[in-house]
Amino acid sequence: MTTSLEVVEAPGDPPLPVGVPAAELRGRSPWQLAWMRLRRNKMALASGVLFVVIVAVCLAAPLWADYVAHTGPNQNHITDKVMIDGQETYVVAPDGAPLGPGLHGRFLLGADQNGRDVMVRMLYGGRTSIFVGVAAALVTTVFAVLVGLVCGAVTRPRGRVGIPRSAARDRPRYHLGPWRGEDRWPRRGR
Amino acid sequence: MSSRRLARKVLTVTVVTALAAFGVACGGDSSGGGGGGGGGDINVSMTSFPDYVDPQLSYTLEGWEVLYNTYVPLLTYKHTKGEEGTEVVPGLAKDMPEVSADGKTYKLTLRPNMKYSDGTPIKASDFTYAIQRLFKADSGGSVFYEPIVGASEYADGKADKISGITTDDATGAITIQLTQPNGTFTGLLGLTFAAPVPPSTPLDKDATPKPPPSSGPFMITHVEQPQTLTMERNPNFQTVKDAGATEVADANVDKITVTQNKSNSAQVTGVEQNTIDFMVDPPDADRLAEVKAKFADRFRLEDSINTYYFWMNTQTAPFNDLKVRQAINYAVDPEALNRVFGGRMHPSQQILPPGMPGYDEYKLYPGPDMAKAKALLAEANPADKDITVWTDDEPDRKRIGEYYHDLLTQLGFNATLKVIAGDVYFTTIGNQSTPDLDTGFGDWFQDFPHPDDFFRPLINGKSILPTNGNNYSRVSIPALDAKMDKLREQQLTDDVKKQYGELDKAYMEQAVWAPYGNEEYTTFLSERMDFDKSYHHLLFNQDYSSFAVK
Repeated sequence: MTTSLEVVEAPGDPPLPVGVPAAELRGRSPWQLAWMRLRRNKMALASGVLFVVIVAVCLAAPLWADYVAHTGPNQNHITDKVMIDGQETYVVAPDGAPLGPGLHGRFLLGADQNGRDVMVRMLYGGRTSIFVGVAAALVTTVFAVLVGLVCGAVTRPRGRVGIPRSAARDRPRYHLGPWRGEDRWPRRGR
Repeated sequence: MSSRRLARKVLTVTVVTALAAFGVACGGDSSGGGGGGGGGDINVSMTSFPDYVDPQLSYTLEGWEVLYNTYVPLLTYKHTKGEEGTEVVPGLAKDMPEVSADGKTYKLTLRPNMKYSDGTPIKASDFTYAIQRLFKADSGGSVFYEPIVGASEYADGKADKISGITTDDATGAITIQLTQPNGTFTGLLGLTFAAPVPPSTPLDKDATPKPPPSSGPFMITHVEQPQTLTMERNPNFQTVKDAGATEVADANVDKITVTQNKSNSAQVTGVEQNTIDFMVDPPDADRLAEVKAKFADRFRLEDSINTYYFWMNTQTAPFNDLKVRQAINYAVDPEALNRVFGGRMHPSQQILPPGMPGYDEYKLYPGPDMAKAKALLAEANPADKDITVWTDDEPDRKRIGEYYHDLLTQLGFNATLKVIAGDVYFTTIGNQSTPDLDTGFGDWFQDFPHPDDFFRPLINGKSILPTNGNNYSRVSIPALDAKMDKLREQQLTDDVKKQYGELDKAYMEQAVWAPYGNEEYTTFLSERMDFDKSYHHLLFNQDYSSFAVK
């Protein structure tokens, strides 16, 4: 039979001390453990940083629109001209072909067929996506809390929602760490 | 080898080769391709399904394209390209109508012994039934047929038949009496609105789910609105041909499957890769250059007589103010919209398009002049600036709507863009009970080669209908309506054409629309189609009877 100490270590976790009295063991919160593990995963960290940058840039869409692109997301520039490499260029050519992407502040990602700045539209689109994501999470949280409160109020204080006490007793318990008076990490298959 | 044996061998090889060649010629393409002028199944894609698959109700380009070769009227339009295609010729009627000296009585005779696709005999009284359906089913085309004596009483429910139409099923005689002489009536008899249908067709309801049996080369065998419909050869079309209807073209292909595909780009790719044989709508601006460059052997631009415009509800604020409507006309930039169409648009700011009798180029609102537009709006100072801008989901139309929405926002309106499906767009904005019908996209393709077609259904007070209306601006100017009625009573002389030009200008002085151009259409076919045979008809768009597999 394997010992619980070996089992609960996550890959890359520092080895848990052996032979130290239980009273001297310092517990870590789930957040501390999560952060410890995330720090060791370089890919996850890089993705996290990229995500934060994307969110920040999207939230700053109005700044880009006002100070760099000088246009809003819905503003049409079909017959306008812009200076590209010192030359006046149509945003949308007479045959309907829009300006392509290039290293110019305005129309960095080019224009669409209505002469709208694709970069500005993408940033504003990102804001909408973030808003929808956050709103969905908030709505879910609010409803989950409400359901939890209602369930908690209508069931017996020590019982478990929807599960008979006898059945609950037979279920294995999974913990993130020592808690509720326990001094050791739970054993698998207890 | 003796010369005799050699001769026998040569003869055998010759006979076998000749038989093989004969077999190939007779057998045709096993994939259903058919030979030139006969056979084959093809598929057609359109971005928006026909509004109705019902000859009396359909009033969209997609619908007419399908119905032109399905329901044949007493008279019809010549099956050919160019100006010649606008000539009215006998269809189910033996000859052109005999018109009385006062221009009020039309006499025609139905050809004998013709049958619909289901075997039902085609009778003279079926014509009366078709006209009755126009009024009972609230067709957008009913406004054209109101001059028939007794039509208004029948429409109002005051009479149980249209007294001005008398028919004799035994002889096929049909007599139509009009309240006033009418210079457009011969042309009107050639529209599918007036195509006879049997009395088994519902009188006051849309027959799309089960279209009436046909009288043309095709019959509609399957409709799954708004996804697909199937056209197959009419087994009884020979009875129409045998009756002498030489001007009604026969079909080249056996079966056409029409499918709605909302992605214009996917349609272009489909035709390029030969999985779609014909796309009804022109390729989108971002694919047009590629199609022109790489597929010049099966793509061409086509003349079309149409006007694109923005309608404005003249009966409610803010567009009930002339200055507001004039401001919109100053602000709209036809050149910008031409680019949305990939350069296929002839910029214009008038009602009648080039090619239509009476067209005389003028420009009342030179521009685009945003400063002038804003000044006019400041003068008008409309109290209600909350407006809804309507358009449909076909790619170029959606972009037109987005352009217009941005323009109105720049002018200080609080505009909301409403984009709805193309197959229900015109029935939605043509229904007076639809809320927030303020302004939006509109277009009009000629029904028949007479300028009345660009005025009566679109801006005549009588064409403000509860449903299926086409007067989206809800224009009702009695003095101009009266002038329109007067002009219709006359033949289309040079003087009358000039007066139609003046009528155009008079309406635009009232800025009832904001027109911006006339679109060129396209033909783009798959490799297996006979590109030279297929042609674009000036009234009905692509003529499906001209489709042929190589």
